[in-house]
Formats: sequence, C-alpha cells, structure tokens
Amino acid sequence: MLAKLIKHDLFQTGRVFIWLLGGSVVFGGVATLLSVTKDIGMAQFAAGILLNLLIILLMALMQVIGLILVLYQTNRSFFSEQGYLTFSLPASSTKLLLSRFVTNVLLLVANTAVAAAVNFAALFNISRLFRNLGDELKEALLEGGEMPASMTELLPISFTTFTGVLQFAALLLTLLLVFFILAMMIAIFVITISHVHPFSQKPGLCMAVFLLFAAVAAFLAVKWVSEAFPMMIEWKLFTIDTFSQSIPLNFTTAFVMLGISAGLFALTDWLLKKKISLK
Amino acid sequence: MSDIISIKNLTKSYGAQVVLENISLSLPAGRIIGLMGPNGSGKTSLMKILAGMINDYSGEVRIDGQPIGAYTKGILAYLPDKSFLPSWMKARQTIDYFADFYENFDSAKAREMLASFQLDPEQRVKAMSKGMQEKLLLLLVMCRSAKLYVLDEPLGGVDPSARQFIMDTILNHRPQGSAILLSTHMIYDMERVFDEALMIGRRQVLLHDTIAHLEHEGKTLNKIFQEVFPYVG
Repeated sequence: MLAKLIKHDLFQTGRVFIWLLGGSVVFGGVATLLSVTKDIGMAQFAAGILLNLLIILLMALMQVIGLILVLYQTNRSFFSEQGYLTFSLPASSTKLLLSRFVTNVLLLVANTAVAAAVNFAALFNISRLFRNLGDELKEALLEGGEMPASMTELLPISFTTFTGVLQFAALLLTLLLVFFILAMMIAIFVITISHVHPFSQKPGLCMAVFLLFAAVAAFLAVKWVSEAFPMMIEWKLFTIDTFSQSIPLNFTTAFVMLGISAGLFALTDWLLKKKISLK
Repeated sequence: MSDIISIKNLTKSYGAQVVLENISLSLPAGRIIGLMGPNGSGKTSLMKILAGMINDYSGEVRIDGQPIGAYTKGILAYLPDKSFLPSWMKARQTIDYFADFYENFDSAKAREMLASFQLDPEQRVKAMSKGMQEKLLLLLVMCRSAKLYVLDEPLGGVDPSARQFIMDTILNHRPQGSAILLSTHMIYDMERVFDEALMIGRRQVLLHDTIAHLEHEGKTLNKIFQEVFPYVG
C-alpha cells in the first residue's frame, strides 16, 4: 500500500515539479551553449557572466519554490476537497503521511541535485567565458593575459584539493536537505494544526505555534550557518583539516534537526489519527 | 442478521456546538437505510465519522465489527456531497486510481459504465460539468463491491430525470447483501426504495424503524417526518 501511495503522490506532485526541474536544466543548457563561442567580445562576455550569475540566483530561488510546491500539494492532498479522496483510501494515516513525506523528500532531493548541477555548470561557464575572451580583452582583463590553471582560482575562495571540494559539497547538500526536511515538517505540522478543530477556530493560537516553530527553525539555521561557513565568511581556505573539524559540530546539528523532524512527524500523525475533521 | 454499523455513546461537537450527543444505534447488513433530518441535524457528520473523514469524536463506532481504520475504509464506499477528484485527472485515470487502491473495484464495469454514461475517458475532471462530475463520482463508488455504501445526498440539486438515473444506478449496481446508508430530503421519492428509516435531529436519533412496520401502522414516511420535525415558521 505504501508503495502505491508513493507512486501516486510522486506522479501527482512530480507532474508539477517536472516543469521546475526542466526549467532549471534548460536555463543551464542555454547558458552553457552561449558560453562556448571562441574569441568573444566584451558585450557577449558581460551578458554571459550576468546570465550565469542570474542562473545561480535562480537556482537558490528554485529551492524555495520547490519547498512551497511540496507544501501546497501536501495541503491540497490532505485538507482540500481532495482530502475526501485521500482519507477514503484503505490506508492508515501514518502511511498517508509517510507517503507524502517520502514523496516530498525525493522531489526536494531531485530539485537540489539539479540545482547543484546547474550551479556547477554556471561556475564552469564563467570560467570558460574568461578562457574564450578575445586576446586583446583577455590581456586587458587578466594580468599578463594568462588564465589561472584551475577555474576555482577565479573564485574568491580557493579549494586546496578536489576531494575536499567534493566532501564539502556533500556535507553542504546533506545539511541543506536536513534543513529542508525540518522546514517541511514544521510547515506540515503547522498546516495540520491550523486545520484541526478546535485550533482552527483560534487563528491567534495557530500564529503563536507557527512563530514558535519558526523561531526554533531560524535559531537552528543560524547555528548551522555559523558552524558550517565560518571559513567562507572569513574567506579562509577549505582544507581537509578544517573540513574535518567542522564535521562533528555539523552532524550534531543535523541529528538535532532530524530528531525534531521525527517528533513533528509523530505529532502530525497523532493529529491526523485523532483530530481530523474535514470541512 | 448481523449489524454492519454499531455505534455506542457517540458524541460529536464543533467547538461548543454539539451536533450528536450520546447516540447509540445498530444498523443491519444488507438493508437500504434512509437517513433523514433537517439541515444541520448531523447527518453529514455521522456519515463523515463512518467514512473516517472525522475522527475527533467520543464514543465507539464500528463497521463490520471493526473500529474505523484501513479495514473499514476498504469495505465502505463513500460518496460525499462534494467533488473530491483531482481536477487534472482524466476520467480513465480516476478509474486506474481506484483500481490501484481498492481490491473490490471492478475496472471493466467502470469502463462500461463510463461509456453508457457518455463520458469521454480522455476528458479531464476540470473540463466536466457538475452533472458529469457527479456521474463519474457515482460510477467510481458503485463499481466497488463494498459491504456498505454511505451516500451523502446523492439526489440533492438534480432534476427529476437525473434523480431517477442516479437511483437506478445505485439500485442496479448494488452488490447482493450490501447495505446502503443514504441521506436525502427527497423522502416522497425514496420511500419505496428504503427498507429502514433513520431520523436524526436535536442531537439524537428520533426514529429508527423498518418501513414495513411504519406502513403496517398506516403511516407514510413523509407524514412521520413532519410529525418528528414540525415546521416552526
């Protein structure tokens, strides 16, 4: 039953998500195509740089849109008129919630992976735009007209090893995913409690609950950022050593976030079991 | 005859407003039961509780001897008074959806009925008229071989010929031995169809009797309804 629920939830939400993912890939593809021409002029160079920077910003926006989208679908599936279909299914509320949770996480992972790939392509494109500059412009822009050996040397931060970069990226994406899971569970819990009688009669109470959890989420997010990015903030080097030192702190934060998410899942499940009253 | 529905001390309230108070009743399997009462009497709430759409109530509710849960949802086919299908779905996709989740759903019969209802399998729910959506919902519910059908106002707001069509569909496609709990205000039209009458109002069950017994006493359902719920102008 769980597999069937996930299949249908994935199809239902995925058919909307596919546009988001497709859009990201198309943006990345177009930007890559525009940056392959050799001996480009200043206008094309500037347009290319701007386009790729815009894509990096867009990918960040896609993460937020993705989160909003899965929450919208969750709300629609449980609490709109479609809830009559969802709660008529011969499945326990735990399975219904778990299916929604797994679907949302899978789609957020897909969205994050595509965004990471497109961001990498955008960074690579920026590097290539420098390489493809005409000789005169290259000499004017770069000291001695020589390109750095590595594209990462163009960035304001430098990575000492490629492995370090990969490990950092893996940690960053993992923590980002954990943060998304927490944000999603907080939002699903708040959505559920706002639909549950008699809380739904008290918008002030709903708002207070939401603000409480938003404050917890914000605190954890700030704590995580302050632990994960001190080197980036201070423009220090990423090395295996500094990376390794940050792992225990980051994973403690991740486990705390996952623990809170699990607690919220249990609370939401209890509300769906005991307090549902579809309008 | 065993009971398909067994309710003990059921109380349901919305905030301070109590709609069902300490209700106890048993409904037998295999019968067509008319659920009647004025607007706001708790008919829809009772049906939602049976279907598992409401679970914040006190008391005990059992269907086929089991508490409301995955099992009871498997043997109960519920037709709410609203269109609940995702608007993006095509008619054929709704059939596939039901076939995937309900073991007792007859896909071949559903496709036959789709054709006989003159519904296009490729048409999306959002492109259908209200009447077409109601037909599709009725088809999906009645193509399940359920032990209990809970139908909330299936005849509400439709013209007399559509009413006849809906009633024929329900009666012709009802599996042998299944029970139907049907709420309606069309008492005159439905009297000949019901085996039992259940009237609720003022938070209580005000009448539960067989139609045969009521007829034996020389009373019509319409007359009894007016006696139980006198109109106060």
